[in-house]
Amino acid sequence: MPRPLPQLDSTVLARAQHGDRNAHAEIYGLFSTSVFTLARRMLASRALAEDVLQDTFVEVIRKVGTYRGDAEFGFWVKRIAINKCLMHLRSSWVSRRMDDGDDKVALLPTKAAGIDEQIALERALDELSDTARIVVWLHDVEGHTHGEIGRMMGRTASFSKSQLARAHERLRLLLGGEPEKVGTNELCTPELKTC
Amino acid sequence: MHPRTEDLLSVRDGEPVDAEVRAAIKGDAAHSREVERLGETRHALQELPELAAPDGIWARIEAVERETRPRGHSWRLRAAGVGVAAAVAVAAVLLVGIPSRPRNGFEQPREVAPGLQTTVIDSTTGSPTLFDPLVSGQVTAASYPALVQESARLDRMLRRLSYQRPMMSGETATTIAGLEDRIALIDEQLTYSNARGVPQPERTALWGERVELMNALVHVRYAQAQPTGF
Repeated sequence: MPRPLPQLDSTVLARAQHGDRNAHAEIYGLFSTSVFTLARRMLASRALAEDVLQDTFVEVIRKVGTYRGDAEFGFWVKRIAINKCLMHLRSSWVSRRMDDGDDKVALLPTKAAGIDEQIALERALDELSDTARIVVWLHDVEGHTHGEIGRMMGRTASFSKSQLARAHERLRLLLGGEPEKVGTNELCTPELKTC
Repeated sequence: MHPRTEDLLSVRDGEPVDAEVRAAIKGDAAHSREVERLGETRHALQELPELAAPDGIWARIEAVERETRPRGHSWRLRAAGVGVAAAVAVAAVLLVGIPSRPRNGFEQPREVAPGLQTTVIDSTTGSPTLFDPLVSGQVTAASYPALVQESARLDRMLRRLSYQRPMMSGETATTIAGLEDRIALIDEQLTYSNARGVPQPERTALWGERVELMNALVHVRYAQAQPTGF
């Protein structure tokens, strides 16, 4: 089951819709973790996740006045973030930008399995192709259907299904198979896939 | 019958599956175990810890929102245009000066200029200045690793500058788009250079070209991002 989203108080929402800066900050405080987590896991890059976090909340501030409550507020915010992630990946130049190298992020406490397994899974997730990683995250974690994912990516439900299968096949290999051979370049740059 | 991973995932997710396929999965212990393992992987993904947003982003969001809020033209915007225009002019010269590489295939290796100049941010003025790595000794030669590192450094610098995205003229936008397209083209060539067995000097030349283009892009972006007040 997808992790439940924080609930936004209706008075905070009303204040935000009237341009109250403190209310905007409260909204950021409530949803920044889930947006940053979503973006970091979808894009496999801390720097790009920061970009998405920023762009998402700039848009939330600008458009909060148009929010009519058709969907849960947190869901609305996440949809903006997902669109921003997809926009980043559509940009061939941005998607190939190299990361800082310092990709340490503060992990919040979890009741889940061992940290070693989580690190291994995190790394394996980062190794997937952009498309496979996005599909597996949106489907298995965010709970979107293949039809929804297909629409978001401008493709079909079948495309989403086959990408999910590929993602799981690759995850299985990465988590249980032989480590991949690293190229013989003097300097490997995985972000550009030159090794 | 050997079910595909797609079928196993459909069973895991309770989606409709061909009856014959479903029976094959249920009747085979290995397939059932695989469905179970796929479920465990999904659970493990859901249980990955949340990641705290880095400090300082909210202040940046407020600043960007304020600065990019739609508003009328002012004398400040016109003043800023002068700096941007100068940087654009330099970048445009560079854009024309560096010959384009064909999308498919590679040209003969060209020698990397030993005195390759690149950008540093001046610690006193905070502005990018041209910098000769050979003179400073920070880069011993325009070697492959040095160029890759320099390219990454310019990427990081550009990323910091790119948070402000003010309105820009058509000329600036065209120049930026041209530089970004050229960089994307080089990235594409670098991506496939290993698979194509491109020799090292050629890859080094590509990285050198990337550094030159990134350098120009940083200058345009920097000029564009400058505060407009006096």
